[in-house]
Amino acid sequence: MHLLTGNRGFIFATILLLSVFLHPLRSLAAPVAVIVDSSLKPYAEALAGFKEEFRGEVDVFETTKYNASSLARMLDKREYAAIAAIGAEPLKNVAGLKGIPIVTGMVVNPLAFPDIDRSGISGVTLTIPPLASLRTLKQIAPSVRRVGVVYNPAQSSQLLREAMKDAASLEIELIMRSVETPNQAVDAFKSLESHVDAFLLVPDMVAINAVSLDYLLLSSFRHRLPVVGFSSKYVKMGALLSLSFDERDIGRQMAEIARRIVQGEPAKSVLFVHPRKFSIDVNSRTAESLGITIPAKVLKEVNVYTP
Amino acid sequence: MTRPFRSIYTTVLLGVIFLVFVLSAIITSFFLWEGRNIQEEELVKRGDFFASRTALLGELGVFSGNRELLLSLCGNVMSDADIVEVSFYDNNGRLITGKRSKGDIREQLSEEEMAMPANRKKSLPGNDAKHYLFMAPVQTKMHASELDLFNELPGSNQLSTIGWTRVEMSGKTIAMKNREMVRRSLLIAVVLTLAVVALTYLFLRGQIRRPLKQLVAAVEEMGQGKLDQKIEIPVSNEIGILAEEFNRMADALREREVQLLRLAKAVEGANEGILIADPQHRVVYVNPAFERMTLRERNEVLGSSLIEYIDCDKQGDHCEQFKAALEEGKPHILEITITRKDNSAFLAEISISPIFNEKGEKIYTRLVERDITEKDRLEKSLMHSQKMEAVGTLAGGIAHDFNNVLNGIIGYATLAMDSLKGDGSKAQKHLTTIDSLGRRAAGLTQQLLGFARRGKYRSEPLSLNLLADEVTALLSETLDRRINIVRHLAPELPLVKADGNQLHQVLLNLSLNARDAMPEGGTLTFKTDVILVDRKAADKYKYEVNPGWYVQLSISDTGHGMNKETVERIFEPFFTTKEPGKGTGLGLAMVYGIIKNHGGFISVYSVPGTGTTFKIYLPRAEETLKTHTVSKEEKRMANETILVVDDESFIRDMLEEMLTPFGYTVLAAESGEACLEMLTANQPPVDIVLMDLIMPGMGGKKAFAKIKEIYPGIRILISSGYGDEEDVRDILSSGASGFVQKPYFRDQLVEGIRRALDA
Repeated sequence: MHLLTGNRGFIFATILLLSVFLHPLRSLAAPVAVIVDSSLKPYAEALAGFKEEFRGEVDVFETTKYNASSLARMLDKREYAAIAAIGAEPLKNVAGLKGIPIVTGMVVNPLAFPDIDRSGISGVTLTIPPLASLRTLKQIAPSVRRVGVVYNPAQSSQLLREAMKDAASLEIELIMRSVETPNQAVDAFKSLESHVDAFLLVPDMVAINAVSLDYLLLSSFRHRLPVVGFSSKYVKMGALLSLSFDERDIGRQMAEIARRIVQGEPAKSVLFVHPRKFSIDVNSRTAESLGITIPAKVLKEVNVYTP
Repeated sequence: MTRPFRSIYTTVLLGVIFLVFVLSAIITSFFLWEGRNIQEEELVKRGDFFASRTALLGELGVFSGNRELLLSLCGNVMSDADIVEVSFYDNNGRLITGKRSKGDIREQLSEEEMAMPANRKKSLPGNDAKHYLFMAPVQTKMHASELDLFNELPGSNQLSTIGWTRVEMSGKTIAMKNREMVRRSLLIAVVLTLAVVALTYLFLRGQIRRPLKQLVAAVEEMGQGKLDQKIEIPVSNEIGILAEEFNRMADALREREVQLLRLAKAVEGANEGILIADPQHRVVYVNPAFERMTLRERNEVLGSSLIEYIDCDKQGDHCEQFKAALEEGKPHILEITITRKDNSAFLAEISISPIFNEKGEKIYTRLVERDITEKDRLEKSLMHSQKMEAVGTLAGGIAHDFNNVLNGIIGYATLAMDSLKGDGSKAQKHLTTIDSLGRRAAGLTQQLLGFARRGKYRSEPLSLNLLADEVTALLSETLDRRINIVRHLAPELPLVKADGNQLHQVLLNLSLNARDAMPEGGTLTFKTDVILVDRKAADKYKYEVNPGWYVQLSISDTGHGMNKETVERIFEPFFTTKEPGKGTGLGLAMVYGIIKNHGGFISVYSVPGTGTTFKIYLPRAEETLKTHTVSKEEKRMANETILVVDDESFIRDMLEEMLTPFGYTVLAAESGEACLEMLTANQPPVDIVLMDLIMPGMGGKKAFAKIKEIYPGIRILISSGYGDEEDVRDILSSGASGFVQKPYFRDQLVEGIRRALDA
C-alpha cells in the first residue's frame, strides 16, 4: 500500500504496465497444460524440449501426483488452449476429455486408445520410419535381401504397410509373421530363421518380449543374422544397429503443434507427424561376430558402441 | 557313624572319566549335529541352486511350452544322484513335463506348493530317507509400458511368473554320511577318552596318588606317635608344598614333644609335689612326688576338691589365706600342715600360682608343695647349735680370765698355807676354805669349758668298760642303798680315744642326775655295746652325725622321767628343773659339749613316770690300751731350770715361789719375745719352758714355733685357762711336751713338769 502512494507508486505502476505489454511471449494468449511423468528421463527430455519451443504459458501436471479424476478437476479450474500428453499414461488420463485439443508424444499407437476423440488429437508418433533403418542396414550389409518381421496386427499393421513400401524401394523383401500372444513370438522368430537374411524389430508389445528377444539375439549369433532394432537399447543387447529418436526434439515437435492449435488452427486439421531427428548406433562387436565390416563412410555418421 | 571312605585319586579319576566321556559325547554330538546341518545346508544350497537354475533355464521352454527343451533340461539336472525329481508346471500348477527316478510325477501342484516362497525347501517323508522339496517360480520379464521397448528404465521389465519348477532331493546320502560320521566320531571319542584317561591316570598316579599315599602313611605314623616322619615328594605342586609344610609341622611337633617331654619329666620327676586344679578347684593332675608325699594314689586325688585336700578347716588362719590365694590369681607361698593318707602329717611349703591362657584368663591353678619338715628341723637345730655356740664362746671367754684369777687365788692360798705350816691358826683355816672355794670355782670353769667344747687336750685310748667300772665302784660307795646299780658291759669292747678325766666327769654327772631322778630309789643301769650307724640311722639324729662304728654307753634310770618339752631343752646351758641352789644348769650342757668335742653324739629317751636313758656314742678307736705307771723317782728333788712365760706378773711370781722349793731354778718372761731373748742369752741354760698360750704380742703359738725352730731339743710345756682347741692340738702334735690346764694345782703342775722332763 505504501508502495503505491506518492510519486514512487506511480513510477512502479508504470514500469509494471510497460513490462507486461512489451513481453515477447504475450503473442500466445491461452495456457497449455502438460501432463507428464518427469521422473522418467525420456519424458523429462521431451518436456524440456516442449518448454524450449513453446515459449507460452505452460502448466505442468505430474501423473505421479494426480490420477485421472483429480487431474480432470485441476484442468477444469482454468481454461487451457490445449493439453500436451507426454507418454502413454498421461494420454490415457486425458483421453476421455472432450473439447480440448490433445497434443500427444512419446506414444507408440495413440489412436489405439479407447475413448479417444480422433478429431481432437494430434501429435508426434513414436514410430521410426522403416526406411531409414533399412537404408542403413543396406549400407552396412548390402547383401541383405530378405528381412523377417514378427508383429501383432492390432499394433503394427499400419506401420508395416509403410515399411513394405520402403523395403521395396530398397529391393528388400519383408517376410512377416503375425502373433496374437507373446509366447507365440519365439516360435514365430524360429520359423523365420531359415528364410531371412536379417530381422527388423518393430515397436510391438506383443512380438517383442524378454524371452523372444533373448531367443532372437541368441539365434542372431547362431545363424549370423543381423538384427535391426529401434532403440540404442537393442544395440547394447546385441543387435547390429538401431535408429533412435531424439526425445527433446519430439518435445519440440509437440510444442510446434501445440502452438499452431493455440494460435487458432483447428485441431482436426492438424495431423500426426513422425519424429524427424534420429541417431544411428552400431555394435562393433556384433558386426565383428557376424563378419560384417562397417564402411568408413557409415562410421562417420553413426555412434559406434563397443561393449 | 563313619563316613564311607573314597579316595581323592579314585574320585578325581572317575570324575575325569565322566567329564571326558560327557565332553566327548557333547563334542561328538555337536559335530555330528553340525556336520549334519552342514550337509543338509549344502544339500539345500544345491537344491536351491538346481531349482533356481532350472527355473531360469526353463524360462524359454515354459514360456513357449517346449516340452523337448524342458525334458532335455530335466535330463541334465537328474545326473545329480540326490535328485529324485525335476518337473515343470505352468502358472496354473498343471504339469508341463518332468522326470522322476522312482514313482510317478504328480499332474497338479498342491496349493501349498504353489504358495511356497521361492526356493524355500520343505521336508517330505521318504521311504529310505528324508526328502527335500524345492519350488522355484519360472519367471520372465514383461514390458510395463511402451517406453520399455525403447529404453532401459529403472523398474521396467517387471518379472512375471509363468510357471513352476519342482525339484525333489533325497537325504539318503546325508543319512549314509551321517551314519559313517557317527561311527568315526564314536571311534575317535572312545580313543580320545581312553587316551585322556590313561594320561590322567599316569598324571594322577605320579602327581597325586603316590604323594598322597606317602602323606597319608606319614600322617598315620605320626598319629601313632612316631613323630620322626620325613616326606620326600619331588613334586612342585600343592601336594609338594603340603609335604614341605608337613615336614615343617613334624619338626615343630618333634621339637614341641621334646619340650613337652622335658617339661613332663621335669614335672613328673620333680622332688616337689605338683598339683594342677581347674578354675572350680577340682584336681586335674598330680605328679609322683605328690603321691609319695601324701601317700595318696593319683586316681584318689583327681577330681577331688583342692580345698578338701588341704583340709582347710584344720589350718586355722592359713585356710583363709589359702582360699584368698586361690581366688586372687596371684602367686602366694604358705606354710601349712598336710595330713597324709595314714593320718601322719608333714609341714609343707605351698606355692600357689595361677596359669593363664593367651587371653589372660585363669584356666588352672598350680600348687607346688615341698615337705619342709626336715628343713624346719634343721633350721631349729642350727638355731640351737648357734645358741649353744654363742653361749660356749661366752663361757670360754669368761673361763680364761676366771682361771687366771683362780690360779692366783689357789696358788697364793697354797703358798700361804705352806708359810703357816699347819699351825692350826684361824688364818690356816681361812686359807684352807679359800683353797677349797678356789677348787670349787675351778670345777665350775671346767664345766663351762667342757660345755664350750674346749679343754679336751688329752686324747688317749681308753675302755669305756673300765671307765664304767671305776664310776660304778665310786657310786656304789656314795649312792643311796635303795638305788641298785646294774652293769651290762659288752665283752671285748673296742676302745675310744678320749680324755679320761672329761669322760669321768660325764659319767658322774649323768649318774648323779639319775640319782636325783630316783629319790625313792630304783635301778641305775650301765650298758656298753658296739653299733654301726649307717647313713639312714645317722640322718635320724637331731645333730650332725657321721656314719661309722661307735662304742655306745647308756645310763638308764627308772626315775620320774621327763616330758617332751624338757627333753627338747635338756642340753641347753643354765636349763634346770631342779630347785634353785641345787643345780647350776651346766651339767648336761657340759656333757653335751664334751661328747661333741670327742666326735660323738648323745641321745636321750625319756617316758614320764617310767625313766630316762642317756646314750653316749663315741667313735671306735683302733688303738690298744696302754698302761702308765708313775715311778717313785718323780718325787725326788729337781735341779733343772724352768722358764715361765706368762703375761700376768702375779702368775709368774706365784710359779717362781711355788716351784723353787722343789729344786727348780725359775726364770720368768712376760711375752714370747722376752722368752726368745732369754733363751738366746742361755744364762743359765733352760731345761723346760712353761708357756701360757694366750698372750699379747707374739702369742704362745708363734713363740712355740720360733723356739722349736731355733732350739728343736728344748722341752716346752703348754698351759692355758682357755684356748683354741685346734691351736692346742697343733702345738701338741708339733712336739710340745704336754699341756697343763689352768688353774694350776701345785701337785698336778709338779707332776706334769716332772713327766715332761723325764719323757
